[in-house]
Amino acid sequence: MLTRREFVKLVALGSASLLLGCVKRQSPVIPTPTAKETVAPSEYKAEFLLGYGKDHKLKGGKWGIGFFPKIHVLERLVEYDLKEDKLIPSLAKKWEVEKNGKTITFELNRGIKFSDGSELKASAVKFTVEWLANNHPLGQETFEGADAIDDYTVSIYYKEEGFFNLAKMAEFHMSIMSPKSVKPENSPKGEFVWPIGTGCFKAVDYKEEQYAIYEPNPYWYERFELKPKFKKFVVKFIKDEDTRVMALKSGQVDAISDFVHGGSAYTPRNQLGILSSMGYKVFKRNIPLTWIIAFNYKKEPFNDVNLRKAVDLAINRDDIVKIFDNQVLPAKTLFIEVAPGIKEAKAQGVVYEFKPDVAKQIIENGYKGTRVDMIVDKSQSDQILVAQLIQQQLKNVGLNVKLEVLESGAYRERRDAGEYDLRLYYVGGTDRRFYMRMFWRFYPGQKWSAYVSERTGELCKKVLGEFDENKRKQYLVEFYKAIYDEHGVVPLYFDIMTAVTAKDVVADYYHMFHYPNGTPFGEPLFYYVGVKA
Amino acid sequence: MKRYIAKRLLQTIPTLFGVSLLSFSLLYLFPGDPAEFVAQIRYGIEPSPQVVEEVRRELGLNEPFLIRYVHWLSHVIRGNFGISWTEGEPVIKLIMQRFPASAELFFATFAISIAFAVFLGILSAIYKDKAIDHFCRIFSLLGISIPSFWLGLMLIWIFSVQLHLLPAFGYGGLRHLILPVLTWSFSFMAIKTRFVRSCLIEELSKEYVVVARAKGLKDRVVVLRHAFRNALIPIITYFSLSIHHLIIGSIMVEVVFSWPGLGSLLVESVFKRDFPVVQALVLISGVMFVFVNIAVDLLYAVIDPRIRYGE
Amino acid sequence: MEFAQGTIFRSKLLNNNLCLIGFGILAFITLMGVLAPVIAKNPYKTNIAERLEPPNLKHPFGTDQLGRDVYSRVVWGVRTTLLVALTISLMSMSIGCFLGAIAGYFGGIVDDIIGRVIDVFLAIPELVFNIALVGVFCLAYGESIWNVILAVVITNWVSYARIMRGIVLSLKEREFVLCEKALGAGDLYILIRHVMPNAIGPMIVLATLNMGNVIMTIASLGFLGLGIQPPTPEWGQMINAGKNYITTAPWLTFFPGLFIAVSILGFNLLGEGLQEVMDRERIVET
Repeated sequence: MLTRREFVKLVALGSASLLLGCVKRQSPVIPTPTAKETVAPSEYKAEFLLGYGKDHKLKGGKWGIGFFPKIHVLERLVEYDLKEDKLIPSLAKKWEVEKNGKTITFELNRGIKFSDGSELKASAVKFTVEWLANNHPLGQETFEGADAIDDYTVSIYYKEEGFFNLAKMAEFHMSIMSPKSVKPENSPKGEFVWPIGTGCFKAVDYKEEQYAIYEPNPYWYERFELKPKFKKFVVKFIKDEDTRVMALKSGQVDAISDFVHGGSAYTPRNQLGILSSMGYKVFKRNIPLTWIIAFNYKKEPFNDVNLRKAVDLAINRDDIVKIFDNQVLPAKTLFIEVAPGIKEAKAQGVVYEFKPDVAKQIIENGYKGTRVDMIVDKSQSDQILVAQLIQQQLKNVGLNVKLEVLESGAYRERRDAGEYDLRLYYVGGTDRRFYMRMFWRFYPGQKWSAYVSERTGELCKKVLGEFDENKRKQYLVEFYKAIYDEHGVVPLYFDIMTAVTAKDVVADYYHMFHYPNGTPFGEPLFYYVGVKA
Repeated sequence: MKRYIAKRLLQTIPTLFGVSLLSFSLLYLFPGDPAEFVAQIRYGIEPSPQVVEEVRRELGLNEPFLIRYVHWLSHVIRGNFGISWTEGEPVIKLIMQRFPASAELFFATFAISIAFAVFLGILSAIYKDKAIDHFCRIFSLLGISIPSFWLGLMLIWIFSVQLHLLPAFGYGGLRHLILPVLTWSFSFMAIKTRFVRSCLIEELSKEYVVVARAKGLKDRVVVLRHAFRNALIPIITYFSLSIHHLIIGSIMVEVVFSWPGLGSLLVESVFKRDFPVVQALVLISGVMFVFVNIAVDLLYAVIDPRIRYGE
Repeated sequence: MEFAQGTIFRSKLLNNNLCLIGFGILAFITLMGVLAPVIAKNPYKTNIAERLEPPNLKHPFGTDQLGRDVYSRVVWGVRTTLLVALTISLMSMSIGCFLGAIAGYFGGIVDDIIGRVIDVFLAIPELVFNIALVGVFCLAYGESIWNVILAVVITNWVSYARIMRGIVLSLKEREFVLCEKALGAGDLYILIRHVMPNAIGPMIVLATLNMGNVIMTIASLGFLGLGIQPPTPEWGQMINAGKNYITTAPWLTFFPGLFIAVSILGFNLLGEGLQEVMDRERIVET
């Protein structure tokens, strides 16, 4: 048993040590410089810390490594320029299309090196294509095979015809990796081990769900005559969006950025205004990703185009973007204006409007007292807010919406079982995914579909098959018009890709969203950032 | 004495058994097919039926409930809580990773709360029904009435947002510890203060105190030297009972301050549907409670032989 | 006689400050809930033009992210919280009293089993179990208020059962009960005639104090995003939605929290007061 004195002593000791601890902490912690730094004090800190919402899966997964390393560690044969609606050279210098796209022959740029120092040759591309054809869902449905014609020329054979094959080569998943990334080396059926690419970063360390560490790839920086502003690029995986924002505010990370996939694990848009007013730098780029209301259009009551029209006209998009302090733009067309065909469609009157009176009339003439179910994924606070506002806007025209805010897993189950009437969804993606997502959302028979009718499905097929730019644009315009006429989806607002950096971070918009050679990127790139020492 | 200990230990067996059954059945309540869910996490969005079957066999999900329970229990007893569904790591490893933070928060709160509870309790007892007693009473009433997550947010607003004095969240040096400890202590010490007060008042009403007072000893001396000393046993017992908070201390405080302890692990795991982790945490917190109780009981019996009413 | 006793009791209640303050607070809050349609506006009505306004004459508690009046949401939140808490309390009280009475009255194996179950539930920290249960229920049955009610009732009945069992045990051996039994009175008769009147007092105290706990649990679950979902106005969930705005719009968290604290305080004051009065009553009796 404790005597009184011992007891008091214990308590006193405890509190004293705590107090002492507090005092001790007040003296600033002076970082001990490493040998190198004492010789030449750097302008920048050695480490750059990024908070990110999704695991980078550097050891691979069903869909390969994460999207962030796919654009930072690897590169692709081509990139996609949304404004021009053109595929532009990247690892490939030029290409020739044969048999209406069943074969595409790429000629590679010379002198490009992987981060391990070996040169990029046709054999690596052949390897990547064959490996994807064997191991990757998208590769399996895309590739027949590949042949190295000579050291720098490679022919890729596709399963189907059409323009989509070329557009797909800019897709994340089609990134080129070194044959040494798998075990046994160079085996198309080999097991993926570690990504080795030609991109700006070299992956050096990784702990699942915790962090990924990268170093600048010297060959890449040499190729573009740049100097990195950090020695180590550390990405911390912080799943919860609020915690990520807090991590930035508390200085635990130098920047936070969106999951470059789009649509999830992003910095809440409703926080961007607050962050920027607090002095953080918000870098944002409009991307052809649009949040929409998706209907359960195969089932009552939204199998009726009239009711879909009522919802469409009842939505005040200008009000919705105010939730986000106008950090995003209201979607009065299906995609942002620079997306191919949008301007032309707009000229033909394909503009989503707010006409509550008309909507009210429609509801009164046949849908009085209708109650519909709207499901929302609770992991995204933005979506909960938007859904509540939509509920009110629909109520204003007489349509009663029951809102169900669901845990992500439950949401997916309800969605897949078709137990809902309305839900929030997105179409499109970052620039490179423009055609990919069109396929997934609007092509007949896809799992993650948004809306398909005979007319829209047919037009979607035509768009994805057409190599000729002008014809493709025409089809796109017709497609937008068809979706508009049938009120297949209700566009709400255009999403953005963001990176938010602390005050002491050196970063600029151009380098954040462009490759050093001027190629526009939809996703934020971090090769040019640094933290002032 | 030995018989008493044996008897008390035996008594806990059904409780422990019940706690384990209850935590195990949480998984049984899991809707849908856990195998498919795990396969989805591990192998991507649409796992093939073969993969799902493989996972089912691996997790032993094809067995009937009782066999699964016995199997699980036999592993749990050896400290093996299975593999986390979402992290793919042993549950025990995840728990051990988070435990230090929980323990740190608990011990700091415990020390501060005891110090204040004893101090305020003595004050209230000495100045019974005076202003200071009323103040302490209001203070402890507020302590049990104010939600800690709200208090935490308000403290963040004052000390981090307005005064820029302390970090708003996170785990790190002692500066990070101050706000969470303050928040938790506020409710943690509330009932303890009252307990100290009532123990002392009861003690002060006893004859020997009256005699001591009659002898002309000063109030302070009477309280500190005699009454407090005698009240120490129930007070220590009462305080020790709260040691079970060591495992999952204050969930709400941990969540508000993003404190990487077991409380926030529980909430995260519920959201991630990582049921092996949830199961393990429910079980461990229950077992901890039982053990702390019996330990305190036995200690009490050792200290004060009159308690052994079992004999 | 009974009448006189009642009057004395009432006057004691009235003389107890704690009781009075607690009762006052609760009466005020309940009145707010009852009068919500009169004294508050539509809690769902959004007005984007007025979003995130600090407290002002038109919006005494300011407005939220969607321009909804925080005051109206807080006032309507009284209804949500009190109704859910009352439902939970009544359900747990019925279950707890029933099981406790059975255990205490019949003893033997029934008592052993119920006693063990009580021990088990007492061992697992309430909130830990609540969170786990709500998590499972959300997945199993989708999102609904009943998840919260069910999860809390599952843990909450225990305290009633334990106290009830104790009361019945102590009464069972009292002479008048034994007498009645000898005279051939039925179990149910004894329980209703003798146990009930004696149990009502402690049960009311327990229920009052417990209401505070239940409100705390509801708010905590709401704050974690596991409880009642938006747009239904509920205090904990309002704080959750407002916590990101703590730097720019602290009123979003301040007012709902204030109402949680005050209503819990009300129940605690009333409960403690009642307990005091009853303790004195007992001292007078003996």
